[in-house]
Amino acid sequence: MASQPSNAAVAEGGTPQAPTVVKIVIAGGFAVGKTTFIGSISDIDPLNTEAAMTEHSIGVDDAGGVSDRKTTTTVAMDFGRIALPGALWLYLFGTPGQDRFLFMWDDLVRGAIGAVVLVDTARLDQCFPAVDYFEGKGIPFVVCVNCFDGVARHKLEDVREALGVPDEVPMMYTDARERSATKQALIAVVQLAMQRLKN
Amino acid sequence: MTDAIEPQVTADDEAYTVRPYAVTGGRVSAASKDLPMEALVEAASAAQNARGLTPEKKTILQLAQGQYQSVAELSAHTRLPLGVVRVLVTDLAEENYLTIHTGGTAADESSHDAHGGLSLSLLESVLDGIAAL
Repeated sequence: MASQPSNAAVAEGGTPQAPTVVKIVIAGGFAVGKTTFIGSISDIDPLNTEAAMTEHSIGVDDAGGVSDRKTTTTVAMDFGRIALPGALWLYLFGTPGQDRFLFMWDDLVRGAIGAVVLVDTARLDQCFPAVDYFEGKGIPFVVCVNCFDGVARHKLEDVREALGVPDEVPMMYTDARERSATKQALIAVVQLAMQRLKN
Repeated sequence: MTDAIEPQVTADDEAYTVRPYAVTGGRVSAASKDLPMEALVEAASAAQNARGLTPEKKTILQLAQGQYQSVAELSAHTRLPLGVVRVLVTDLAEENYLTIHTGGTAADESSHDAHGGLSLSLLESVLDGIAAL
């Protein structure tokens, strides 16, 4: 396999070099807003790696707080891409929406900077598999409580206690529809990964 | 690992006119398993005159002509499972029809530290980049 030195992307002049690619994984329960989160900041419309189950599954997850607002099942990973300065491409990969696709996660997280776990406090248990997975694998992750309709219904300390995640795990409110909010979540993941590296 | 498991995801089979692994000749190449889904693919200019390739391979070369496409993007655009695209891309690279760029991925040792984590300098660039969005 052709391997590209990581500094090649910033080589002076000459032929354009292939971008250096990094990724962050976006996890959470079914219909928690992962695709909306990705779409809020991606340069491209979120894509899906697997064929849609039905025609209805073409479209964007509306991050509905209730399951009947989501009419289709995400059968595989949705993802987006952000071009950053210095020929860096950041890919955001959403985890498959259901636990039965957990076998794909090892492949998904390989080489990832870290992960965002999106939480819907109305269905807190849905994020347990993600939290358990990242804790078990030692992958840096931040927990983002998605505020549907812009309303925070629970205190972050209460969510932390309910999830049983240690104080080192950053926690914040987010709004998956808001680019500025998703940006802050991504920054928190990268900062956490850097912190881990320095310790 | 998905290569071994994807054929079991039968719900998707209906979307194909042929069963997904028919286009790889039923093979799951060992090298293709390690191909990161975010690795970038770039078609060689000689690929434009390629003959005797399967329609799936031709499509991949067309998509990656003159622009970088990740393995995941090729999978999305061709509507072929990731594992199938990995095999086809690996084949095409071996046949010199395309180049695979893995800089920054888990397959690129130079961008990772001794513990397998991404290097601090790369993370700093990513952080600065996101902050500037």
